[in-house]
Amino acid sequence: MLKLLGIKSSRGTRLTVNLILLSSIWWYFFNLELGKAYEFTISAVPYWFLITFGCYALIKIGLGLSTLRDCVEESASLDKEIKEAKAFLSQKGLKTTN
Amino acid sequence: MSSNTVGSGIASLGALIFFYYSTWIFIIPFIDSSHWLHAYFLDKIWAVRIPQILLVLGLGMISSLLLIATVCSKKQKTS
Repeated sequence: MLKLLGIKSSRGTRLTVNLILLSSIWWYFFNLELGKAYEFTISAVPYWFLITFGCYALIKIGLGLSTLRDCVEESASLDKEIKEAKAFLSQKGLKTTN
Repeated sequence: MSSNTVGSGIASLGALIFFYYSTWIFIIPFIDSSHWLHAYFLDKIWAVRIPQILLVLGLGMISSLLLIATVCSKKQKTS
């Protein structure tokens, strides 16, 4: 996520650096001791990150599914080609299961 | 049930869960308990317990599946 610019690093290094950065920010706010309402929210932020990541995955999958296009003619021509290939090969002596 | 409708259903479910959970964590603890919004949400401690339960169940299922897979492959190798 952060700091794709600058130093060349592998994906794993970037991931661990991001995790350590975010955890230290969270740890700082966790030990800051503001009022009681803030205490609950700050202690629940890691769970919020997990749920947000899950929701992001759901939304990505859903959007990808919804914009997937059905190619009917290409599917029909592919079936025809498969049939032709099977007929040609079985004629040449190749045994097929169906 | 075309894939288009299923896809938009999944996406809207994800958006719904995100907004509901974000309100639960970030808005509910800070407003008065007499506000009308509190009627739509459980007690805020459940906002933490439900992900904990889901994590335990999910990781448990994944690890047991992995265990079963490794034990089965070992059995096939030795027998």
